[in-house]
Amino acid sequence: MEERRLSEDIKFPDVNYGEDNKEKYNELTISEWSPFFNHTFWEIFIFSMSYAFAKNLSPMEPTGKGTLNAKMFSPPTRHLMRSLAIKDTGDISIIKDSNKVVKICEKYSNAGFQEIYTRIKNRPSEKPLEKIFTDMINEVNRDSD
Amino acid sequence: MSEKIKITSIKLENYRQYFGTQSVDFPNREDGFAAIIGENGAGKSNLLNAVNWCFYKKEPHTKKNEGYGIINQIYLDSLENDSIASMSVQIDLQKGEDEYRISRVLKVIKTEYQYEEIGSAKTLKMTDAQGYVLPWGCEVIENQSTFEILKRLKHEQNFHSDKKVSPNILMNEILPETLSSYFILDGEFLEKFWTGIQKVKIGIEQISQLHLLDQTLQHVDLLRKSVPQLGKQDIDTLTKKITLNDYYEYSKDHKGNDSFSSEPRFDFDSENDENEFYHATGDPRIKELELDIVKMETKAREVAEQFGASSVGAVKTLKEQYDTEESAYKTAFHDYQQAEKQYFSSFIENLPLFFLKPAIEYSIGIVDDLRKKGDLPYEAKKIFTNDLLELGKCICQTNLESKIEGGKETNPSRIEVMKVRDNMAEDQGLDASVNMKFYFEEKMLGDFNKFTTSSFDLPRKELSQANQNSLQHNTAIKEIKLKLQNLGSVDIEQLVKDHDYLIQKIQETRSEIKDIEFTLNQNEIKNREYRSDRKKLMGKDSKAKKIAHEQSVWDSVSEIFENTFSELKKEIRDEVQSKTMEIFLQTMYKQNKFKSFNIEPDYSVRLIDQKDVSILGSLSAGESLFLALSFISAIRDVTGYKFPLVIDTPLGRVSGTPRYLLSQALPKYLPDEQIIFLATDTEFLNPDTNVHEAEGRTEEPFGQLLEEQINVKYSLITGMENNTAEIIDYIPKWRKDD
Repeated sequence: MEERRLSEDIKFPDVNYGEDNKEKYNELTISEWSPFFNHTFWEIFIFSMSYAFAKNLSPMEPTGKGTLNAKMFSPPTRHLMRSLAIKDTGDISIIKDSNKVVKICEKYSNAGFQEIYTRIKNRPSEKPLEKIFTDMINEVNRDSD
Repeated sequence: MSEKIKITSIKLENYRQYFGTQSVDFPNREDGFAAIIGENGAGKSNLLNAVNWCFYKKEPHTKKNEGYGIINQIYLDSLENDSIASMSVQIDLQKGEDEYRISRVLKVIKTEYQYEEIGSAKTLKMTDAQGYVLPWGCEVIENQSTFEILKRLKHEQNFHSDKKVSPNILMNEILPETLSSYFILDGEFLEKFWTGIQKVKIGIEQISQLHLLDQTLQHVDLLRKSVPQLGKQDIDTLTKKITLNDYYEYSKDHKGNDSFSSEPRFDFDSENDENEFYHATGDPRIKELELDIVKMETKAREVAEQFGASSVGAVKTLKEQYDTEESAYKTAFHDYQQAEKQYFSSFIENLPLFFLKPAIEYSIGIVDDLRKKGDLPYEAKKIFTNDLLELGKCICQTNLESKIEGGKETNPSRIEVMKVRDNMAEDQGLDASVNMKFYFEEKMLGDFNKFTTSSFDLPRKELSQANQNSLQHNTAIKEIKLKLQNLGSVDIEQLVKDHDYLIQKIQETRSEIKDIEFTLNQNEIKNREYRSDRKKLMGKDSKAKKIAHEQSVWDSVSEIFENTFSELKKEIRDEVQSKTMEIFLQTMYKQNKFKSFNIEPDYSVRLIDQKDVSILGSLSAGESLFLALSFISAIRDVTGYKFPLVIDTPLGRVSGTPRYLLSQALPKYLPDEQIIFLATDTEFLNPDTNVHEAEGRTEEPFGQLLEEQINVKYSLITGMENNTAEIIDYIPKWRKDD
């Protein structure tokens, strides 16, 4: 099992979260007003990706090249990325090509990040920070209804 | 002594910030009050200094003048080097029918200025080497600096000097320096009037001349106790023992000089305390310790006042509650921070699963289909195929045995199965989807409700609870803070510390007094025995007999003096205390609040309210000021001293209703005596901003309120900022409006 995970890791490419997003990613992880304060870039990436999928946002090609090391993406995280890629393509064989999986996820994440960043940044000061997430859940529930 | 004195005019020439010749005339009391108005720092206190300097060559209000010269700087600047600068203060008085012109002149040779460089600033170098602050190098011309008092009788045209009496003696007759602070009153003197007993003691003893009798009494007591050595061992030994005990009682060393300890007095005040260090023993030490207990109690009351309430205990309880709540809040806030961290971490980790739930379900559906077909996982398929090849027989009984010919496999069925196995390697990547399926089922899909509850609902509840808990403690802290603020809290911890220290110090001091009193008592018992024994021995010796007789005479004289002094003191005390209360009640609106004003034999003072509680320490600034003025008035009334009253900054801390009542009472106060106020424009000319609407009064300036009952002659000090202060006549705005 361990050997296989290692072999998968070798195949998994670095992830591009978008060169233009770099400063904003940084801002969200170092600012106390951000829910991602003290969290990592890969967490923002995965969160943005899944949010974009749930909100049915149009995928957007990120700028630049992959800079998030593949090693930072744990097996459960990769499962999330694979499931999104399978659903996006309707073909399970997509997961045989990690490069393709990652490319699909990068586009979703880039699309989701723009909206998440704006939501966090433009949060009215009287609105509690934790409300951002509960609002998202409510929106997604409403959309699915 | 009882002749009324009034100040006719004050003339200043180049005194401090007053440039050139400035003069101000004062009305008689029947013509009203005089008020000299000036902003803070304008020169009001220097006007008091000018009066004191003219009378006594002293400037007791010089704190603000440190570094500034006694001669006007602009005037000095205008002089050539080596020329003579002249500064003077002249005060005209009327005493009964006679007039006095008191003048003091200071003459100085101006030399070239020297400057000091402090950083980039260049400042004029000053010195106070000759008793006056002057530019460095300027020299006082002693023989041209004069003090004289000229006199003019009723029908005389000109003033003339009385060469028989020195001006200093004459000045002492007009107003002794020791009493001047009871007539030329500054705000601070009045504000601290009830701190300690010195002001009360000096007021009563000096103004009524009782101190002269006290000095006589001390002298008689000395004579009474001085028994010489007779050369008779048994008598002399007893005398020595008695003397030693007397030394202890009076805190004297073996030479009869005052003996002091090295312990500094509590909160030493050079104006009120006679000595900086405690006497070593006996009555003087007890007296000082008692005086300082009063100071400690006053200080403790001041600290309590800062609490805003008389109950220190209440503040301490609140402080304890505050500490408990603060500690609970810190824990609750830490818990909240942890809950918040947990909340965000949980949402960030689990929301992607929630968002991708449709994709996950879709993927797992495909994986399940493939598994049903046996296409997944690849590893299982590979092992199964290898097992068939190893067994050499398919499940359909086809022969898969290996048949090698010429180094090659020749069994077509086996070759076919081997091809299938090798092609399967391409599907190796799909095995990850099987892991994916199990992961998602375990993490989320197996029990989705449990997943959402533990991922979102629980952290949200915990955060909300932690937030509420933290808020509760925070609210409690705010409430306690508010209560403490209402009690006037500044730095509660320090105040409590200070208060505890003072209370402990008072207890220790009281305990020490008891110890000394016990020793004194023991000594007195022993001395009685020694004296009795000595008397017997002396009765047997003719020389000693004569001395013993002298002793008994001094004893009788001393007793008479003591009784007389004690009766006189009591009489004056009683008179002053009842007069003080009478004047105080005339001017106070809360008459029912106060029951009695008592001056104790040791000159400590008690103001008792209707509940028999001593409330001197908790009086408002206005009440305290009025009580001080009432006491001063009572002394003047009882003793007949009639010098004008000059009051600097009378309303410094008085506002609102007390200020209004003061304006109503002052015109009736000391109706025969001249009163001069030195006041700020805020005190006298500006509307009172502290008038509460509910009081139903207008916000009229203090001066205007006074003028409803009495005339006020105003003068204004201007131009102080350039060292060119002038005193000019002034008409307040409300009169212009009229």
